[in-house]
Amino acid sequence: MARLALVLLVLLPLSSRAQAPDVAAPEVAAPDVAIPDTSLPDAAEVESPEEPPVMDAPEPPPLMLTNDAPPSRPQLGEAWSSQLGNGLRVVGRHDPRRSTAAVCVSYRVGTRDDPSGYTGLAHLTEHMMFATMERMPRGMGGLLESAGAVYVNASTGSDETRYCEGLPDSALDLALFGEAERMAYLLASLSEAQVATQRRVVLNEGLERGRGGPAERLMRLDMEALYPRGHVRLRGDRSERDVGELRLRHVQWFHQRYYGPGNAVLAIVSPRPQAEVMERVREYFARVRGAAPPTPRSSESVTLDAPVRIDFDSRLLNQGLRLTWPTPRLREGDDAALDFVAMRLWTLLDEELLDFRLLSVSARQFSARDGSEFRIMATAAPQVNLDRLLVAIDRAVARVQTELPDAHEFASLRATLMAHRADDPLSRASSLASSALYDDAPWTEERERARYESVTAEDLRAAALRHLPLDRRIMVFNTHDPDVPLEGRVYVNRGGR
Amino acid sequence: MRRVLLASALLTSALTACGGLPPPSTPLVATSVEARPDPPAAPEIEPPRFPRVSARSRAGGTLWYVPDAAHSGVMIRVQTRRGEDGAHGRGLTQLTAGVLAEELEAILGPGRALGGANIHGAYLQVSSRGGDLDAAFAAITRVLDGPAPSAERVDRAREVAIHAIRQSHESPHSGAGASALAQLHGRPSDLEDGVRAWEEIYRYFGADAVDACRRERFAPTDRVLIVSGAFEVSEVRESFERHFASERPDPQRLPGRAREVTRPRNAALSRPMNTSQAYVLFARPAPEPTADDRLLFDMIVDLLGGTFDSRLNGSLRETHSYTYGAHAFVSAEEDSDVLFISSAFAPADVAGALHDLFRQLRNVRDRPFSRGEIVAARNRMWARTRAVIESSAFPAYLSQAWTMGSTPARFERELASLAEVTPEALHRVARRRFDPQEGIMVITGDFARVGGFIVERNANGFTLRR
Repeated sequence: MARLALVLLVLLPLSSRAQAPDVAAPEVAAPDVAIPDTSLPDAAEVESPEEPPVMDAPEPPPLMLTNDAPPSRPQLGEAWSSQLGNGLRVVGRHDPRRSTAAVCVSYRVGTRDDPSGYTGLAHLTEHMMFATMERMPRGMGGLLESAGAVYVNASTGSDETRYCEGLPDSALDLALFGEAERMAYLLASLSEAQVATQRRVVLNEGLERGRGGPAERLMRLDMEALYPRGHVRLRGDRSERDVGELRLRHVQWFHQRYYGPGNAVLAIVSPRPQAEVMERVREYFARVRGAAPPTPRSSESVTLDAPVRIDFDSRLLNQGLRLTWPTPRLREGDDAALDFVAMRLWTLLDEELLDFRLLSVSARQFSARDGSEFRIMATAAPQVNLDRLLVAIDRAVARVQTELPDAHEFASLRATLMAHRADDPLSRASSLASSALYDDAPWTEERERARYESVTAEDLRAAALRHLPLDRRIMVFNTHDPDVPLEGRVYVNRGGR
Repeated sequence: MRRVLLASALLTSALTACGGLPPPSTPLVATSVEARPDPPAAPEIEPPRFPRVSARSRAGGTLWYVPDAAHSGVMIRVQTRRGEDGAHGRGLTQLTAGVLAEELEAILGPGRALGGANIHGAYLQVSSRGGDLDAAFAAITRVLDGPAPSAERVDRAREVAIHAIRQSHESPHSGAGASALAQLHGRPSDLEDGVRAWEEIYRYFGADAVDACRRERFAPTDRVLIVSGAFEVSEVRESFERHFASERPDPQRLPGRAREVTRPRNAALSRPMNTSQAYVLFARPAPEPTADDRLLFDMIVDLLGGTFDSRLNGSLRETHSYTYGAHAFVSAEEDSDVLFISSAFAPADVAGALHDLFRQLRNVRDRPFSRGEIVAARNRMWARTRAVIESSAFPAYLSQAWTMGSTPARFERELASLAEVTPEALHRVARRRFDPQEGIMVITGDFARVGGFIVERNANGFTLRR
């Protein structure tokens, strides 16, 4: 009888089984129903067993009755990696559960590669990649947006420039075509007039983002105190003061030097299996030629042997504190444990600082390949005493260094950390592209989960003790002063509090 | 080969040090153009299909759930149909939702919850992963039906809210939005008056008021929990039964006050501020979400300024390079849904940019959208919905069906009907819904550098006169 019941269960469509009231909740008399189509689904209607399910749910796939095992659902495939003869690294993930796809191309180049006297060149080149071309008369944006792309954009970081598209899988070929076309042929069609247009757009972007303003300066102060001049962790010169002088030939030189297939990673998340994706990739990219990639740069680790206090008086309306410690690089040493420290500290700060009426407070491990920082940031209204605020923050730090979280709290911290991970195709492709640029094993959620599952409560406490010493950190006190120059005033005191 | 590369690197360094980049190599393009693959044909985009959404109701509320194993977590949205409808003091429902979200984070962990309210309803949203779905349900029922939020938390949230309002009024972006909304709803659009009015209102929002608002706005008969993501159906049902089946008080609902959207008195407001760019914002009421032509209105907004390839970006950014970007979008505000168009320009470009912006606004009514534009916008709307259905934003999307008294099936049919949209139909909506008399411009910036001019508005649209 049990076997017969099982067979009947397997014969039911998946969606019906999911609705069957006796499968999991026998104490509930009325079955749940699909939300009725014609009227408001209030209690009376929904409870009525006669209410016909009117949703046009897609037909479930046919089930195989070859054994007693439950029917398999489509699963997220393993991450895969491949390389074309021209050096282009291709990474991907098969996700048959979705109809959307994502494509990202990351180039190993960023603002740190702007030659001296040419600040803004990496960023301007990124803009030029969206220019109209002979076979893309409306540029990459127009090509993909008319085919249902929900995201077409790019970003220029210090060591990476990434182009990403989120789109229906049926438009995957268009995205691959567009990416290959601009990698291979952009320079054949660019004009000085197009560069002039984007030069002004980049300058406008800089104004809109407050480049060179006090908010940006505030964010750089701790980094500049922590890292020596020229360190790759210091972002490139975002003032972009040379953009006005950049010309077509500069963009051409830059593109030739850095935008070859050997200096890039193509990441694809798609419902199509790897073999099919790779066939399409070869169709568009295999013939793209490029020069040998530039040699990657390495970076030195840094330490602090004394506290650094920086007072920043600015016209920013809010005041605040930024406390920064140098910490282990991405996926090295206590990096994962410091994510737990940040999460716990964030909760404790919320408790300890309730009286300060803060506008925001956060703690976070900023992990990166070239060096990481642990940072506590508190933003306060002008009347808050920042020295008192620092004492309260230090109380919370001391608690993390001395009090072990109980099992329940620790499980909750882990759940929270995992809850923060995005799992949509675009986020996956973006992470895959970025990680594969500098790492042989691309990022996956499974790797993330394994990292977090290896951390214990004792690791958390030990990491807080080891990496957050109160006498070796950078403290930035940002105070509101309407009378200082627009860029603000900075006072640095190394070695004292 | 190595020697050649080394020589090339040395040459580059030397030239860079001397202050000049070497010229690009020739030929410019190394890849042969022969036998390159043809551009692929544009794909056919299908209208989105919605998954089956199941429902059950108990004394503690209604549950909608959609299992979707493609996610690694679960998203829970609590949505009510009562938001900032005037039944309570302005802003109290938003403040209450914010306090409840903070309470949820205090239980579940930071970054796990958010809350808010607009004219259509109030909401809380919680993310769950790693098997703590039941704990999330327990936390939700505790903050909705358990002890009142602490006075300390309410006091802090109120002070933070007042500060945020002051700050937002002093920001060129959001201050312009606040001024425009004030004009559309007959309130003082002056910065200081606006801030003082808010401060006066917020002064009376104490813990008791927040608690009363919580009980009335989030009453069991008007709240739905929408759950989507990777869960076992039995798990969500059992948790719902455990936490939401028992009887609990269901307070009487307060009637909302009708709010009128008025024709703005002024064509334009100028907000002098010492900013490096000038900010221009256009605002006008959008149709109600239940209006017959709302979907077509949304299509017009998308074509006008919703994308990289929109008319506004094509002109203001790609042709004239006046701006980094122009944006058109509809936002659900406290009093109504509002269409905003916004952009920022260098002061010297403001006059030219305004001419162009006004021309594009007039063109919405005067130059019908082509069939190609309509197909592109329809593809985007279908693809966007499909992407939302497959994302953790699906509960937020479904919550619109709850607040509108609609259903996912009806949404599906309405979206499918976009296949039949003609340029004529879209043009009729454009003529009806883009009456310039109902719109207002706000221009913020350093007028010593922008220069003086007069913005005029008549039946044909906005014009600028020096």
